[in-house]
Parts: sequence; structure tokens; C-alpha cells
Amino acid sequence: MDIFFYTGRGLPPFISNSSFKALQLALPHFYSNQEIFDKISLPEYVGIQDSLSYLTIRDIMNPRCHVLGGAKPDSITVGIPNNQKITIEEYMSFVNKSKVDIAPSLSEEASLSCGNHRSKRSAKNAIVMLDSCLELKSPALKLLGNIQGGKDMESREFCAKEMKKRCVDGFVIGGIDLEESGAQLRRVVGAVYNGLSGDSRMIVLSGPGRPLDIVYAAQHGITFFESCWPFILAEKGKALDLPLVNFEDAENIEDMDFYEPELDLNDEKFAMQKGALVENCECLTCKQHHRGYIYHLLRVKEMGGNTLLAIHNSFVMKKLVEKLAKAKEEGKLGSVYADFVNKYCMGSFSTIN
Amino acid sequence: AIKWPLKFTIEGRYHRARASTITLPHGEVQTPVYMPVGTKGAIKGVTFQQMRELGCQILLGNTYHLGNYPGTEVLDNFSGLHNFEGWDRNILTDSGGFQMVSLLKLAQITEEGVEFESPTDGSRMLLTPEESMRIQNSIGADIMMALDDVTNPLSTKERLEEACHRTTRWIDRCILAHNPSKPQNLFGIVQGGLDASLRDISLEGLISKNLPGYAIGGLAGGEAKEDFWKIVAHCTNKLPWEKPRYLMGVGYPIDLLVCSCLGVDMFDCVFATRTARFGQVFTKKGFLRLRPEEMKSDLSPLDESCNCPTCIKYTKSFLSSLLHKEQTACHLLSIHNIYFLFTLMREIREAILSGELEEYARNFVLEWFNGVENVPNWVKEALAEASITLN
Ligand SMILES: [Zn+2]
Ligand SMILES: [Zn+2]
Repeated sequence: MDIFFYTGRGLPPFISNSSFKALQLALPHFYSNQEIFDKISLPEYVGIQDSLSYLTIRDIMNPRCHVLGGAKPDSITVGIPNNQKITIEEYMSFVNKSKVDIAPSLSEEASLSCGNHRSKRSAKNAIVMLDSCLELKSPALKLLGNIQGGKDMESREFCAKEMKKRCVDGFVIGGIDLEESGAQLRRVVGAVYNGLSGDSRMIVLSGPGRPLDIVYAAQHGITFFESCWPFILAEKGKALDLPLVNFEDAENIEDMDFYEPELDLNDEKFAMQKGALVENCECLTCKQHHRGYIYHLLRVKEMGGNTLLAIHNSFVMKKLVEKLAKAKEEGKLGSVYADFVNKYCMGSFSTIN
Repeated sequence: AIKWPLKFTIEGRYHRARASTITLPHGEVQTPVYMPVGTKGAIKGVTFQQMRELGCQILLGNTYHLGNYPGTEVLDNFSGLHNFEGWDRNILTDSGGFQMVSLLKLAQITEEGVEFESPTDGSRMLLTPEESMRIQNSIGADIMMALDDVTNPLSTKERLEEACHRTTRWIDRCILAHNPSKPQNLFGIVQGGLDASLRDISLEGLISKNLPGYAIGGLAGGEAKEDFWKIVAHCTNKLPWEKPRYLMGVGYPIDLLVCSCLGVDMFDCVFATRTARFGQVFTKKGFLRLRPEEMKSDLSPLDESCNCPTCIKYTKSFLSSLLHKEQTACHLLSIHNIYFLFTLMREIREAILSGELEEYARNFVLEWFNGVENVPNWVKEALAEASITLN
């Protein structure tokens, strides 16, 4: 179980010396200069050869980066840099020579807000395109079946069922946009969970990777998570406020809306505050810096403030997933979601303000 | 007399150049030293943890900026800047005067202090020696700079002379106002523009105050290099041998080398990080500007001989592809530039200690300018003054 932390061009936002174990790389940023990967692998090029590298077809943090398909399941068009058309052959040739560890099969991205027609089409085409990708993949590459279907639960389940029959190394639940979170996303996870019914291969959840969604997905067999959420919050000057002590007790809460606790360091009340963002947090930021200092950096628009928040937020996410992995190992994953919600995402919080 | 908390030990010399250790309240500083600038309490995008890993022993903070934000109320609440920003090594602060005169067009200098219009509400404000000391005491820097009368070196002789005398008078007010809650040092700033006789007036006035160290101010403002090095040499010649000398605002690699040879111990400059933001880096062969199109397929590092975290990991192709697209790209370039200057200073120090400064300076200069025929005259003359020839 692990997180693929977001990078666009190979560096996580705000952090210039990351030591993340698993990272995303967004295809559109490297596609046009691909001759270079005849000489050097993509992970080596971006300096992450010691981490697990995972290719994404879109750049989730770039609003122009849509990935569109057509009626024929033979190519897609990627929004950046300028509506680049990529065929299956071109895609697999790029993937093979870039030598990333893991890549999804080619597919259009049908988000949860797209229409019925496109939702259905995306699932059907994804299966056909997966078969073509499988024929072209190099042995070293781990290829994931790219499960599409938009918000159509039947299509999602069907796509998962079909892909389960293929000789893939795992799956990714695709088409989850940056804004997506909550009940509808949980239903998609549920549909895929039914479709894959206990498959033991790796399953990746695409999308922003918010804590609550990750906890829910972990309970439903998902083992890897894309996440850019720590950086989104850091950009806004916010810190994840999850002390991550034990989760306890449960009830049926899957359709409800919750929020994840966070501190807004732009608030003047932090100006004089000493101590860590989150008490007992062992991240570099919390061990070495005061809340008041981060408030100051945000106020004078020094990017160091965002950097320190990104370090804290990504650390909290890493700890969360470690906790989930441990719970899974101990067979205690069953009620973790409810516990998490009860503990952190309901009512008011007594933070250490 | 005040007992200043500074110990200065000279460990080696090569003619006019010295290698020393300055012991300050937050640890030792090996010289010659380049001090990176953390204007508002942070080095652009580089964390203090990274600065520690790069071996940084002393950082600069700007009194003017820190006095505005976070302000002394917050600084006092956190018992000073060290604790506030989480930096446990040394800090030096400027007096705020230079920042004011250069940032605020409406600044005017009177006997009282630096008078200016508030950038927020236009009201009349005044930075006096006392106010500068109050802020610097609140910051708690290991080395404070005395407020000086900053003048353009091209001002009239009368104005420049007035500035010298006033700077000396203000020192007394600074010392009188000094009210520290922790050990702090005060350096005076030698003024006098490009006129050696004016510099002498300033030197005489300051040295008599028996301060723990002295800075050479009023340079690095676009003056001719011939004038620049001669004034540096003039000042280091007359400043007490047994006290640290700090050349303010100088940060080009070649200037650091030449002035170290002339006996300067400390330097600060924003150039290393500022130029990184525009995609320019230092290499042993001179400046290198990143050009994304040209460097698309260039898999070599910024500088073949560099062992910085950036050069170990990344190629010119990758770094140039990030330029103006990823903010973190300029962090990576800043780290290289800061590391480059740290390495340069460490190598100069080692060369002084081993008696090989002439050889080191010669190699550096010839590589930087790509051959003796390209070395500007001022470099040759300045080095000759330091008993170093290029042949
Ligand atoms: Zn933390
Ligand atoms: Zn380097």
C-alpha cells in the first residue's frame, strides 16, 4: 500500500528535495521530447530512479489537460501542450522506451461529470484498447487496466469484470477529477470493488487523493492512491490536521458528506502561536518550525511557507497510508472508514489552537 | 567598554589574505565566508534544513523587512529571529538604512536619521540609529550593523564627507542605544565613496570605537571595477588586522576571489539566488544561462565538476525544461549557486591554509575567463596587489 505523490514534470510542487517512495509522472510534459529517452530512462531523467514511477496520461493539476477519445478505440487527444493526438502504437512506444515502472493502458478519461453516452463508450473502448496495449507492452513494464465508465456504475463494474479476465499487472480506477470526492466517488469505488471481486493485483485510485477517500478506498481493496491533495492544500496555506491516533467505532455513513480537518495558516490568529502545526507530528516542519513562522511566510508571500506546509501534508498522508497498511495486515481494515469519520470528520474539533 | 561576544582567530595567511574562525553566539564561522540572504526570514524556496546540509554557518536577514513583517512584537514573542524561523546557527542583520534608501524613492537623510514616507499610508516615518538598534536587538542577530548614512558614491565631496562624519556620530548613538537581551555584536560600516581620503576619515572615526568588526560599505553600486578593488584594498590595508572585515553586497564569484585575496573575510549578496530565478548559474567556466530549446538534448550537469544535490541528480535538459514552468526549478538552481559559492570560499580557505592561494587563484581565474588573454586588467592588478600573478 502506498501513495503515488503528484508531480507534473517530475518534481512535487514546492518541494525540491523529495524522498517519496512512489511518484507520478505526467505524460504530456515528456511526450514531445521523447527522443531523449533513447539515451536515458524517464525516471532517471527526472531523478527518481530510486522511487516507484507511475505514468499518468493527464496532468491532474493542469485544468487544460483533458484526455479525450473518439468513437474508434485507436487513439486519444491530450489537451496539453496543444491537443496532441496519440495512437495506441505511439503511446506504447513511448511507455516502453521511457522505462517507467507502471503505466495505465491507453484510454480517454471519462470524468464523473460527463454524460451517459461518453461514460458507456469510455468503458467499452477502454477494454478494446487494453487488449492492443497488452500486445505491445515490453516485459519489464507493469501495465494497469484503465477502468473507465464515468459515473455509470454498470459500465464501471462491467469494465472491471472484463479487465479482470486479462493478463494485466493491476488496475487503475481512472477518470477521477481534481474536484471529485465524497459519495459519488465512493459509489464508483464500490462498483469497481464488485467487478474485481477480491482480485489480489494492485489497484490504483486516480484523482486528488484526499484522506477520507483513501481510507474508504483502502477498505475496498484499493492498494495504491494517486495524491496531489497535500500540495493543493499547501498552495492555499492549509495544513492537514490529522493527529492519526487510533480510529474507533462504526455506523453506516457511506452516503454522507464530511469534511477533513485542516488548519488555515492564513488566519491571523496564528501570528503569535508557538509550536507544531499538529501536536506530536514528526515531520520536519513540525519538528523545526512554529505555526507563527509559517503564518509569517504566507503573509509576506515567501514560497517557503508553502514548502513547509507541503512537507507536513505529504508526511501526514504517508503516515495515514502506513496506518492503513498496518490495519490491513492485522485484518482490522473492516471498520476503519467509520472509525476515521467518527474520529476526524464529524462535528467540531478540539484542535490545539 | 562593552565586551563584545566575538572571538576572531586567524589560522593562516597568504600575503594579504587570511583564513580565520569567527566564534559567535551561535557557533563558529570559517572564513572567508559567503553569507546567503534570507530577506524576509527565508531563503527563496530553500528550507533551512537544506541550508544546514549545504554547510551554511551564517545567514543574513534584512532589518527593514523584518521590522515591517513580522515586526518586533512578534519577534519578541518568539524571543528573537533564531527561534522564530527555526535557525540555530548565526544570523547577521543589516541596519535597514540601505534597504530604505534603495527601496524608497522618498527617503531623505538628516542628522536625526533616515526619513521616509510610509509605503502604506504616506505618513512621515523615521529610522534613527536608536530605532534600528531597537529592531536589531529584537531580532537578536549575532552580528548587527550600525545605521550608516548611505550616499551614492557620485555625490558631491561635501555630501560624502558629511556622510562619513555622520556615520561616525551615529555609531555612538547605536552603542548607546544597544540594549540586548542576548549576546550580540555591532559592526561599523566604512563609508567614503570612491575617495581614499574620505575613506580615511571614516576609517579613523570607526576604528577608534573599537568595534568587534568592520564592514566596507558604499560599493557594489555599479562603480568601475578599477575603483572598486582599489577602495577595497585601501580599506583592508587600514582596517585592524585582528578583526573581521565584511564587504557588503558583493557576490560575483570573481569578486569574492579577488577580495578574499585582498583580505576580506565576509561577503553577502542576493545575486546567487536572484540570478537563479532568471535561469542563470555559476560554473567554473563562467556564467551559464539555461536555454530550453538549445539544451533539449543536453544530458550533462550544470557544471561537470560540481557535487551539489542538483548536479548529482539533474541534467541541463531537465532543468531547462522546468524553467519558468515549475517554481521548484529556481530552488534547484539556487542550491547549485549557493553550493558553488560555498565551495569557492572553502577552496580559497584551504588554499590560504596550505600556502597555495596563488596557484588556486590563477587556475580559477584562467578557467573562469577562458585564458589569460581574456582576464580583465583590474583582476590582474588587484591580484598583483595581493602578491598573486597569473603567469
Ligand atoms: Zn507535521
Ligand atoms: Zn551544482
